[in-house]
This record gives sequence, C-alpha cells and structure tokens, in this order.
Amino acid sequence: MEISNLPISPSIRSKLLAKGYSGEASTGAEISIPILSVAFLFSLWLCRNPLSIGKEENVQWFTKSQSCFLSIPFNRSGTKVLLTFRYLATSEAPSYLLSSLIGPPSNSKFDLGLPCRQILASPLYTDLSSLSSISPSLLAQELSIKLEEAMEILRVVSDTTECKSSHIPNGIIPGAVTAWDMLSEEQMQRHISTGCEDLDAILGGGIHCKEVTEVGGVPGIGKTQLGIQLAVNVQIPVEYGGLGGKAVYIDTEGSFMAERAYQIAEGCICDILDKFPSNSREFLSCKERLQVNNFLAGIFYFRICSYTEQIAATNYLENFLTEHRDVKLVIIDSVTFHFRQDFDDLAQRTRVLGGLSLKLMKLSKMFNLAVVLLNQVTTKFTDGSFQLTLALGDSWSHSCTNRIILHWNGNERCAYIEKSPSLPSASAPYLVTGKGIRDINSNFKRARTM
Amino acid sequence: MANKLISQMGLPPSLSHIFSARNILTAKDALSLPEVDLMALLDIEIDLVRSAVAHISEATCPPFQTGLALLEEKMKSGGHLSTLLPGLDNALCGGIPFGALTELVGPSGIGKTQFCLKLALLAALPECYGGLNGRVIYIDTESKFSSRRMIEIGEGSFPQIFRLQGLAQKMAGRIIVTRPTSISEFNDSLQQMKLTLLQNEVKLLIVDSIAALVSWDNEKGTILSRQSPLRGSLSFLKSIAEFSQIPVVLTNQVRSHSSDDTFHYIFQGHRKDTSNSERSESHLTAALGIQWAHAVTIRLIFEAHSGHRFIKVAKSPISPPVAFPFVVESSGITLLNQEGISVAGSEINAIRCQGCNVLTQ
Repeated sequence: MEISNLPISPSIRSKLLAKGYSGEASTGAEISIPILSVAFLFSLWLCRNPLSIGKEENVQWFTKSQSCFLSIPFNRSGTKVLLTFRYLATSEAPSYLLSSLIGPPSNSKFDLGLPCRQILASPLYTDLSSLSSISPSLLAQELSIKLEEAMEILRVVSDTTECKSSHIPNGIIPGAVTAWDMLSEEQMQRHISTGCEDLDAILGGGIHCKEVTEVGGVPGIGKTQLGIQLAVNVQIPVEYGGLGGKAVYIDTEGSFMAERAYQIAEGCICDILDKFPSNSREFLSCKERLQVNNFLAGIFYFRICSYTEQIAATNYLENFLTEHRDVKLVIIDSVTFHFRQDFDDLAQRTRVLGGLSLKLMKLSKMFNLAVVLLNQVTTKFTDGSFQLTLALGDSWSHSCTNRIILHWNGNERCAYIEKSPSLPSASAPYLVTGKGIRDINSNFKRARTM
Repeated sequence: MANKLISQMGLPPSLSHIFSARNILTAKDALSLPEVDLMALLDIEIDLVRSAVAHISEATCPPFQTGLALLEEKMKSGGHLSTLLPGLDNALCGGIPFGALTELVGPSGIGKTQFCLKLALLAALPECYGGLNGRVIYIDTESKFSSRRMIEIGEGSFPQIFRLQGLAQKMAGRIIVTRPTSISEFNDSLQQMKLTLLQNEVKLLIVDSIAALVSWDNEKGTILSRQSPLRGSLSFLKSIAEFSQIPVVLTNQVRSHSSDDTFHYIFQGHRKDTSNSERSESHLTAALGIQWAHAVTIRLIFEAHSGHRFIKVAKSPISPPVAFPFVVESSGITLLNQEGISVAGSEINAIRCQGCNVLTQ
C-alpha cells in the first residue's frame, strides 16, 4: 500500500514522503512526526486482524526526545491500514493536525465521524483497552459530548477489538439465555420421584435436575434410605414417568447395603407393574429393562475413605460423567463425615468445602443431572439453648440450592423444606417401609429377609 | 489412597519436581488446598494447576463398582455373623453384618457384656456349628471380661461341644483379650492390628466399652466438646472393618440428659414434650454424642422398662424398628419373643431404665 493512497491529509502525506517513506516498507517502517506540542492522537480503522497496541511483535514503541512514537507495519495487503501515532503531550494539542489524520477510508464500514476526534484529542485515552472498560455516561461527561455519541464510539471500539464475536442469541451476553427460554426448558424437565407422593408434591414433582439438593437429619431418620430410593427411582424408564438414567452413589460412611438396594428395587418394580396395566404396549417394550439386576447394575458405587478421596472423586466426576452420559443423579452419603473427623483448621475446611460445592453445582448444570447431598446434624448454641442444625457450618448452608430437613414430628417422620428459591416452605410426612420410602397412607409390609 | 505419592502418579517430570520442591508430596497435601492457593504456592499458571489437580484426582479416586457387583460379593462371602437369636437375626437380615460398625448401647448391668461374650464364642466356633472359625480380638477397657463366665455360656448353649475338654481349650485359645489403659495405647494396638488381622484370621473385633476410653481423657464429658478425642479412632475402626470385611462390635454407655433439652430444630420452635411425661424420670441418652450416633451403622439399644428388658434395633439401614424382650440366663441372652414388637416413631431411640432392678436377675 502506498502512502499516496493513504487517506490522510495532503500535508501529512507530503511530510511522510519528504522523510523518505514511500509506503513499500516491510514491517517496522517508522513514521515519526516529531511535533512537540501535540496531544494524543488515536485513530481507529478496521483491520482484518485487530491490532492490540503494544503487544504485537511488529509494533514497536520507542521514545525519542520527549515524544513517543509508534511504528506499525504497512504491508497488510488488501486491508485497510491501521495507522496510529502516539505523541506525548507536552503542551496543548494543535487540533488541526489531528483532525487531518483522521478520516475514514472510502470503503470503511465504520464511520468514526466527528466525536472520535475529540477522543483523540483527550489526553486520557491512549489505547483501546482504556476505552473498552469505560461506561458511556462517564465518557460523555469527560469529553463533553452527547450520550448517544459516546455509546457509538464505544460500540465501534468493542466491535474492532472482538474479531469474531460468537453468535449472540437473544441473550445480549454470550452464554446467557432469556428467562422465557429457561421456563420452557424447566417445564420439559422431568423430576426424580422420591417414592412418597406427599413429598413429591411439596418438592414440585420430585428432585429437580440441574440443582443441588441437601438432605439432612438425625441418625436413623432415613437419609440413606432416601438416597437409595432416589438411586433406584432415577432408573425408572421414561415410558413410566421416570428419567431412565443411572446413578452415582458416593458412600463415605459405608452405610450403603446392597441387600437393601435389592429390596427397594424390587419394591419399586412391583409398584410400577401394579400401577401400569400389563397389556399396554409400553409394558411389553420395557419389560426386559424392569429387572432388579438391571437396576442394581445402574448404580455406580464409590467407597470413599478420607476427605482427600472425596475431593479427588468430585474432581474425577467430570471425566467420569463425560464417559457415562446417562448418569442423571449423583448422591453423596454423607458429605460431612470425613470433614468432621480429620480437619483441624476450620478456615481451611470452609475453603475446601466452598470449592467442592462450586464444582458440584457446575457439574449439575453442565451434565443436566441432580446432585443430592446427605448431611448430618450437630447442635448449636443459639438463643440460650442448644438447637439442632445441619453440620458443616453457616457458610456451607449457602452452597446448596434446596435444603430439606428430615425430622421426627411426634411419632411420624417428616420432611421439611427449609430453603428453596422456588418452593414454599412445607412439610410432608413419609414412611420407611420394606419397599422403600412411601406415603404415610400406603399399606406396608415389614421388611423380611431376601 | 490419600497418601499416594505424587511422584508416582505419572505427572510430567517438570510438574512433579515443582510439587516436591514445595513439599507437596502426597495427594492429601495437594488436594487439601484450593486451586488458587496451589497456584500461588507453586507459581505456575492456573490452567496447569487445573490439569495437574485433575490428573492427581483421577489417580487418587478409588475405583467404582456397580451395585450388582457389590451384591454378588456380599452373597459370596456370607456377610453376617449369626447371633443364634432367631428374631434378631431375622430383623438384621442374617445377623451382625460384616464390614460395618455395630453399637450396643444400654445402662450398666443390662447385659451388653453378656451379649459380647456370646458373640465372641460364636465367632470362634467351627463352621459346622454356625461359627466363623476364626480368632476374636476382645478389647476390654473396663476389665469386665470373665473367661469363666464365657465357658459357662458355652456349656449352656453348646453342651455337646464343650464337654470335650480339648475343644473348650481350643475355643478359648482363639479369643485374644487386650486391656489398653489409654487412648494412645488403644490407637497403637489398632494400627498394629490392621496389618495382622488378615494373616491371623481374625473374624471379629469387639471393643467393650468405647465410652470408657473417652472418659479417661476427658472429664468434662463429650457432648459439649467439639473435638472428640476419638475422632481418629473412629474412622480407623471403620476402615479396619471395611478393609478386612469383619464385624466390629462396640459397646457404649449412657449418660443422663437434662429433661428440658430435647433437641429441636430452629423451625420447630420450643415445644414442651407433654406426651412423654414419664421421660423425665430417667432421661438417658447414649454417650459420645450425636456425631458418634451418625457414624455407627447399626445401633442396638438395650433397655429396661415395665418389668422386662428389651433389645431394640434403633438404627439400621435394613431393618424396621422392632423391640425384642429378652432375659439373661446361664447360657447367655435368650429372646422371649421371636417376632418382636414393632415400635413406632421416635420411641425407638429412647433409652429407659426403670421398672426393674437391673442388678439382680
């Protein structure tokens, strides 16, 4: 590209030619117009590869006699050239020089227009990065221009700095979705039934996917039972209203008993066969899948013996879930046990738990599955007496989306929703039977040997 | 798995040098720190830290099994120590399970040690008589073990075996009794045991009683102390149980409990328990606190009320809440009712000690 073809004012052009620059130079041709009394000059043109000032190897910054110069290669064939000069201000700017250098090339897509000259004249804005982080109103105030013009400038700046902006859907920011899209997505989601209809009702259908649910209670109330029941219920085929997915059961206490899982799976299949008539077409196609052994084979069991292994397992889950895409539920039973035993430094424990909960939330969103954490209780001294509360402290209580507390209400077991962004606080009684978790009104048989 | 060395995990050599230079040698050191701290400590980029942590996690994570494989394993290895009390065995689906902690809680003199003596005998018996044919380690902290009583139980329950002189000696020879005098001695013997359990064919571990250990070191009681001195022992006992797949039976004491402190959640408000007024007479609770209660897998409560003694299955992943009345005879514990009485509600967790003088038969 020849200097004579550059869209710059004739006076500058002549100066350049006088200095011997014809424009055929390769990288690093210098343009230095050492005019002492000038303010910052900054002009933007579109370039095929946006030039970030100061970082490119072709661009050289150097100072010479109180002036700062910037040299930029000219040999970008077929593209509009980016021509930028920078001068250190020593006194006020003679704006005639600046305005003569600005001027969009004829086929430029971006017309910088008048306001840019004022930017260029301002001593504050020297390169693209300082313009990219400023708000339109502040810019408008500083340059004494109108708000719309400031917004226009910033739009030009952001467009030139992002070479390939990703496809932005309705959400204005890449990666965001609108609330309406989220609503339609949520309505199509299935929930994991807990086996007890009252409990499902207060949970809005069951345990939600893409959410972390924490379940806590005193020993013997049925947390592990609920965990095993969910691990079985997530495998109910889609034709029968379930998710048809598999489950990962991370056991830190050794309370998972395979015989009990067998009983619960048997009970679940029995109830499905009772509920759906046996001569329907759906039954015939799914019959092979409704075997107890299949349900047991769909539970991936990890036995964790220390908190290090618990952290390692949570980190490893990402790889595991990428390989096993049909996992729809991750249960950790219980998340507290090792963290109460071996940790001396409580502040470190809080940090580690924070990292753990973030990872679990990320996993649930990324792989569209439900995460259920079972927690223990501890006593806390509040209001002059000891109260029961879930373990791991106050900072952990923020890490889950929903929180359910299982407690004794007289002689009944009850589940109470303590915290949820979308469900009202409610309580529902449930029963632990030989077949698993059921409604309080259902007929039950006592657990018998296999 | 937590103490796996980073140098053996197959990280690129430059990375493992950086880790060892900063004294992060095992997986536990590396994974205990948040990623940002690790980045600051090792002075490498966050992406590199993330990939290193992912690699270490994959190496440290234990392998998974499916539920089906677990079940088949259990079926093969039996999985239970039968107590020869049919009602209790039915409720526990076979007996005391392998690989899990079983706790016996009850007031003093109710029959816990008698139960343990009988279990020790049962584990030592040859398999043809329903035993496990192995050694038993009996950790006796209160000096309650009486071999004379054990032989008496044996003669009462299995007369045909114990008449043979040599067999009684052989059975008694399989039961190893140790009497630690402090928690550190207890922990030491546990450590040594972990290595020798499998070699010496130990099939049962009994600790009678575990609450006594704590009371030596901590006079103030353990409900209020946050850091229980038994923390390390607890996870160690669990790992012994899992690792060697043997039943571990622990005995616990009871403590009295002030009557207005029935714990409630904050959302339940303060309610006076008007329905259970007789509770205030003998309000007992298991020692070692709620953290311990979470940690054991099966809890059998021994209690006495209305003239009888009962064994209640209070916490078990596999049994409904039932209570069996029992008596202690010369041949050990016998159930009076094999069917059991179903107990509703939170009664199952209550420990009562009233209505009969427990010190006399």
